[in-house]
Amino acid sequence: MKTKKLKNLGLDKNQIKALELISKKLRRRILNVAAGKGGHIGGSFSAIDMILTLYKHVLNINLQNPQWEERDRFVLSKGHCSLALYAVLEEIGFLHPGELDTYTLKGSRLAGHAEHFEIPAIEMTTGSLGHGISCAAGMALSAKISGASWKVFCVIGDGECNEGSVWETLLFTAQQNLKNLIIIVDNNKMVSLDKTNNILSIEPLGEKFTSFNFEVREVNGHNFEEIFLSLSTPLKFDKPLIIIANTIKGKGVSFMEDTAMWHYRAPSEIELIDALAELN
Amino acid sequence: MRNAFVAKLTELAKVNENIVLLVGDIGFGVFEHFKKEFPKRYFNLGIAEQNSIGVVSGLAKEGYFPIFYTIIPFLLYRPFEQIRNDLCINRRDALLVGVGAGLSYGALGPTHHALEDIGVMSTLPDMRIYTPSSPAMVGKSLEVAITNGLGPAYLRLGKNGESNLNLDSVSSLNWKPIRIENPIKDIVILSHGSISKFTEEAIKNLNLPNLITFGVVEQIKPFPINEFSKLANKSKLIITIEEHYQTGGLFDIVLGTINELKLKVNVEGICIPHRFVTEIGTQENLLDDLFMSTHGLEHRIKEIIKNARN
Repeated sequence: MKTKKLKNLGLDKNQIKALELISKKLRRRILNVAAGKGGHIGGSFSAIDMILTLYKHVLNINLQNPQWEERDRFVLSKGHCSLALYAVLEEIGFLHPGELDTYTLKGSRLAGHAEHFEIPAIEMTTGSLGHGISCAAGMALSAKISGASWKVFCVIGDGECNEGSVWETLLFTAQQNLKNLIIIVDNNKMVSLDKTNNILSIEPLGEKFTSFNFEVREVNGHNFEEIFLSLSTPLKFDKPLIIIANTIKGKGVSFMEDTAMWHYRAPSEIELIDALAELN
Repeated sequence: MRNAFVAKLTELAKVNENIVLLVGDIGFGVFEHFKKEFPKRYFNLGIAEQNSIGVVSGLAKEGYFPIFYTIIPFLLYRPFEQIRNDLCINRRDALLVGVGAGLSYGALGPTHHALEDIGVMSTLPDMRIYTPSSPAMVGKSLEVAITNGLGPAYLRLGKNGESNLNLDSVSSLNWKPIRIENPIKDIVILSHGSISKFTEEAIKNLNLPNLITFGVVEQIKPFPINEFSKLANKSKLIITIEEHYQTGGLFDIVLGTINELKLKVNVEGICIPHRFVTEIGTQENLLDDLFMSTHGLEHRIKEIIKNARN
């Protein structure tokens, strides 16, 4: 019944090629869905490669039963990037085929920020930053108390690290030594309106996390092999793990990359054609 | 109330293995026994209330029943959005236990007072609110909060050393959402929380047993509409007395209920005036100043009755 086991091997060339193709396909899917109605495209494009790698090769899940008790949990703390999560869930069959087309429409199960009531695969409703990570830590604590072996993977943003609650959770996670919680920072270096450094700089992130008693790994968040290895290599220290994934907001479409305008936007017809052309 | 809470919690945790106690670094010596008995189910989460509510949500999601205990303003106001999103929107079964209701922490100053907590929690759909009127009611309130209904709940406690009510010795007045003497007279005086003791004493001093019925509201939300309308239909005047601002408190809820049900009864409320209480003194000192301890209440109830007759 178990579908994906954590492997301590790199991905092979075919797996990487396949991920690259899927990631382009899902970006096209997201653009088509967001055209005309809008969506958080920038952050979805910075986070999607990590979410895709997690669901395809890392999370211990059961494709026939999204609520299988022993599954690894995934929490998208930066809930505004729901489009990336939905696209991956649709890809692996945890949403109905074509369901992403209903995104934000009346009667849809897919809100602008992921809601868990209707979709068994979504662990919790997020949307306000600095919440999901604390709840993920609570889930990890519950597994520690009960002795369960599943893990919790949580994606947060670098902008989200402006929230004080994130640092409370880091203190707590280190104090309880929750090695079953793996935090991944989508470090796209932008907030909504500007570069993170111009608003509330949080660099040096790695040094901060190290000083908070974490094992810190830094990877290119668009390189599938690096992402996979960072998630599958055993811990060097007796500490919880944080992965800083250096990413590009709007990654994949040149005119969207590193551009505040594409934090949230509905592509026009012309923009959609140009963007899709770059993702072929 | 605090000791009654810990005693009952320890008893319940023996039977219910899902109970996990989380504290916000308060209660010196209070939880030692619980900690010894259930070392894997006790956590001091430090001075980090936003994270604490998230942790409560995560534990509840995975089937535990977390109970988070700290001083009311830190429990409810600092992490309000976490309570709203992570507990209410996410529909988690969990209990928030606050100490320091009203002016319990009198001399510690207004940062530690809790005069708007019921109002704040009342705005949240699905949040249940329990306000035990005496130490004798704390255990039962805790049990009800854990077992009755789903979703998050808030248990509002005073501090320690409160006395029980005379009402508590009447066995027919065991825990109910509204505990009230029978029969219902023309005037019903309803209170909740630790000011109920002063209310009861004031009524006793007034010595108008044929005119006044005393009752306490143990469950503010969901408001026990049926029980309330029964007593409202039998009386002519309801007076609410509470250690809370009018806004969002029992008086507001009673007014709203009367309007909604089109009940024909007059209402008066004695609440904390809408200002921060910056004077220094014990709970009783401050209530004295506000004419809300026994003698003040006695006088004010008399005035209300006099005006109602005119």
